Amino acid sequence: MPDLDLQDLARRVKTSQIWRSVFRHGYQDTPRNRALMVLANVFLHLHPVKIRPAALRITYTWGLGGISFYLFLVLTLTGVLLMFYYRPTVEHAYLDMKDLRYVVPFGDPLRNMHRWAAHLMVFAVMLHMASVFYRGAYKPPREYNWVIGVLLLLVTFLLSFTGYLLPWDQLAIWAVTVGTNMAAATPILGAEGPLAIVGPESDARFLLLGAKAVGQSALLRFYVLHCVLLPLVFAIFVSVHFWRVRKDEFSAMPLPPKAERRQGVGVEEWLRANPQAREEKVFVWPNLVGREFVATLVVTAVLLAWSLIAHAPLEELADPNKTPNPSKAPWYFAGLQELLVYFDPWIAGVVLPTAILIGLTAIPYLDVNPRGVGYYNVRDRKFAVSLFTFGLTLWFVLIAIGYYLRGPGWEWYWPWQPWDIHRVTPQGPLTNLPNWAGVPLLVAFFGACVAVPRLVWKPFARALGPIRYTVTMLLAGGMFFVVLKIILRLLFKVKYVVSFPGINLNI
Amino acid sequence: MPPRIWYRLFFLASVSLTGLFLLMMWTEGNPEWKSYQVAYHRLLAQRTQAVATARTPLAVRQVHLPEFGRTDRCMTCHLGVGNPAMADAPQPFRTHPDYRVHPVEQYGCTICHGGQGMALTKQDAHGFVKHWERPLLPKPLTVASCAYCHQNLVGLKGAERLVRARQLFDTVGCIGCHTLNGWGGPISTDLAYSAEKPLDEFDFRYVTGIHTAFNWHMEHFKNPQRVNPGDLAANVPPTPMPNYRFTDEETEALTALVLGFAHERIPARFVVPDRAPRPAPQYASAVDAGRAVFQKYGCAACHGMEGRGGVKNYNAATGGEVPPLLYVAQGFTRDQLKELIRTGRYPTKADPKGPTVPLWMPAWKDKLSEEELEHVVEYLVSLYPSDSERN
Amino acid sequence: MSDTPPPPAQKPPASSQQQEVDRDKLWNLWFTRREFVNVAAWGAFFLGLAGSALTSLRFFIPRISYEPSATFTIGKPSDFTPGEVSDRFKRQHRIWVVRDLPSDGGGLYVVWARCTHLGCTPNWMPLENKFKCPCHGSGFRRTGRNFEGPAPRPLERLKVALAEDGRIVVDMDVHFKDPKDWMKPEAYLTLHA
Repeated sequence: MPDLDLQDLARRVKTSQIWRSVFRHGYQDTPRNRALMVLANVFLHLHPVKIRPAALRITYTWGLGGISFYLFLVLTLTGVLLMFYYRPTVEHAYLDMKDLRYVVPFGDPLRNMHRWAAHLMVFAVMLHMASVFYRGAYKPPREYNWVIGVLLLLVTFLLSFTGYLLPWDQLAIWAVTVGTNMAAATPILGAEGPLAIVGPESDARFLLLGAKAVGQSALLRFYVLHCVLLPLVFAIFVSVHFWRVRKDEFSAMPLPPKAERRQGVGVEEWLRANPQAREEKVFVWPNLVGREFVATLVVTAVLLAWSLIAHAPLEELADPNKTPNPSKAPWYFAGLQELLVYFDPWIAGVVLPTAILIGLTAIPYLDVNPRGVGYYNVRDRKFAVSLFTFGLTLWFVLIAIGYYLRGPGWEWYWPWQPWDIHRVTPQGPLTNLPNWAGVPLLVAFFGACVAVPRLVWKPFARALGPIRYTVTMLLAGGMFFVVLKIILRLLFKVKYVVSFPGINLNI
Repeated sequence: MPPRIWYRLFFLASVSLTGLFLLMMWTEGNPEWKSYQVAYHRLLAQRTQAVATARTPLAVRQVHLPEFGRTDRCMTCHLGVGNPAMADAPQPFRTHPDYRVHPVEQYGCTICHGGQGMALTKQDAHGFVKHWERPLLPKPLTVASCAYCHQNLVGLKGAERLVRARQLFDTVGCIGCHTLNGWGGPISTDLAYSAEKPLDEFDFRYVTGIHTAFNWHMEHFKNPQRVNPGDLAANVPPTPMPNYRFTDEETEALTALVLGFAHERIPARFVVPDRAPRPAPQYASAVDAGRAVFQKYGCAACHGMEGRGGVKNYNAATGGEVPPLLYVAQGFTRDQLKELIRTGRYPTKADPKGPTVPLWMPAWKDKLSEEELEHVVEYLVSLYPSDSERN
Repeated sequence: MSDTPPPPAQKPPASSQQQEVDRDKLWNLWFTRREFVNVAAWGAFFLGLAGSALTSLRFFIPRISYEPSATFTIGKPSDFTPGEVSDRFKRQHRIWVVRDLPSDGGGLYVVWARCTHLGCTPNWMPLENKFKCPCHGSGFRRTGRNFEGPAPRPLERLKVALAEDGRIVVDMDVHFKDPKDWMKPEAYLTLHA
């Protein structure tokens, strides 16, 4: 047998044309190669070559943005694999789901993984948004990127919502029925909303479903939206989002050493005194890329473990003639469904979500406080942080109530109370405030929200300027109005503050 | 150098991932059905002395029946259904009796037996899981499915129980209170609906056995008042359905009968229509004709078989019972009887504050023809016991 | 040669310019040709874009869908006697048609025959003037209001309307659960004589 000189063989392979056309640089650990690993790679060159050490701290971002994107990739891959077996027709969809579970090798964990990754991604993007807020990484020059982020949040919700229908079981059809009924409550463009100008054959709900009820048209539409249109939109926006992260420079700021922080030295002052701190950088390869890699592995391991343990639900075949009791929207819409107890559908399902999205989008343009960019700061941003935290808490509390504490008939059930479909609650009488009292009260409330704070916090109001101040106070007022109305309903049994039944407008 | 934690996490995550993949591959590679197939082939090899059989490759088996909208995979474990050599083998390998009558390749399994045919684990396939409404029927109830295709059960081998149940149905007069295919009394539910309705429209609070449709029906036949006791606090009386003290056998047969009333999706070419000649019945006398009318409209349901009474009617001023018909000849003229039957009657409440009386006499004027009225009145008059009977 | 280039043409004095302009009154517009063409072209582009957006939106609303019709006709109001609760369409469509006496409003409404307790089909008991569910004894007045038994809420009404040919059209897709909505014109057909 001829002598096998491995070293010579390796040398000859590595100097061949084929090899050198693909691998343009060596792998030896030199600074030059560290730079080239990032620069010369189409995927990795999204990163800069060097970053500040502060950006490596996991406690800065908790990797939430990266986790969200990675989950999107997982969902794309698992989703494409599922597409080889799933047919979006009423006759086949449910049976294909059963086939995936029993007949397709690894079909069960694959389907579970897709479902759990979806839930995890919705949760991760919400946490990512909160984290960006608390780090002030939406303030100038990053306002535009925050808006893109809000759009991505919306697309994520829509992706999850459209995917929810595809198994075509009772959970799917009724969750989507509840969700699209809210579309029917849109003012003007919804057949059952206030001031409706269209009928149920051409309103916003019909647009979504292609029919008056959830059926084959809706299934096909949601399938196309879920598998093609929304992922494309997401990919486009996420590219812009990443581009802006680079262009606006990653926000992580180096912090003063602990001793000085304890003395109360502010970050901005310390940075002004130590400008060189901003310039200290380390190589992205391997420092950041290595951490990202490990984070990916951890997320994958957790996801796979969960997919092997926990079955994604698949209830009975969808039956449009039978409504399960209770019928719940997906968990991230459960908060809005809970609000239906206190508000008409056009408010709970259309006005409030729109207001939330507008409010979120407006945050960078309403916040003129320059402090707290690139690090967690509560002390210098009390107003912003408390308002946002209040809103976030309210959102999650409503979700928790809608998901865990509501049973048949949307009645209140503590976790230890068994669900009883025979339980009949005596309907206590609800009153409506007369309009001559309700309208002035409503106007007075929002008027007070605008008029009063500027008297108490003069410099704050002056710093914002009249437009920003008014918008901020109206949005904050709206948030408090929701809580107030809930209290009015629970304690004083008030159903409507203002009611114009002729035009279907009740608040 | 990143902090140690990253290296530890890398190690932990990689090892977990590999472990999880191995676990996944092991679970997917060793599904439950494979062990059944191995056992079957070994058993078959023993019985047929063909050693090679033991090494038959393991594979999922199914029967795809698009006409029925079903795909049944039961034969993945139940491999011996068509093999006569397995007649005395233990389940799940035993041969199916009278296999050639309804071969699995044409009918599948679940159309008769129920269960979740597309599943591949024992518990899932037998359907005793959440979110599957039609689990495997117990053996005595399988006969219910004959009625899906066979419109005439008389003379059908294996369906004798159903024929007897139908006779019981007619004698007891179920059609007097219940409707079936558009015909029957308005007092209670439609029986086909009762056979098809979703599980959460059943009240299982007082059912002691498993929460399936067939078990509800069995317990309800055995003791209607226990399963449907009403709610006196809400002024709802217990169900007026009499407790006929059916035997276990009768209960099973009746449950099978009721389950068979469901409308199943059966392609036309499988339906065996009822072609039995039914000449118009000839009656010896008006009394006999009247007896036939009495049965046709299920009068026995409330007035007892042959008008003997004994059916309780909660809070009715008529002594808490539906009045028997034995003595109507004494209290009413023929015309009065006809008028009563035509217009119906609501009993007054014994306790005015108590619940509404559950059984009432419906108005029959739209249902009985004049001739039928004549005959049934003759029959009722004939019920008056003779002097000897009275003594 | 001291050929100095001729001085650039000076702007004619204002008066003469005005004279010049007055002569070309026809062309006295306040934007140039170039600006006009520019605006027209871009305007057309955006109009086209808006048009394609609107057509795309309209694309998603088919003129008819494959659903079974939720609307059906149940004859003319004169087919129903005032004071009557009609069972005529109970088997076919699972509804009762109720026509009020003139003293109760004289109108017509349709009640969905599905018990709000567990979904059974109640029966109309004319001599006791109520709907009674055979499953667990829920009782409802002819208006649909629940008054006895376990039903948690009244029977639902369905949308009714009059077609041009005078027939009553029922829409099963639209339900009225709250008694407060029952006198709405979609839930209660007001009849004149």
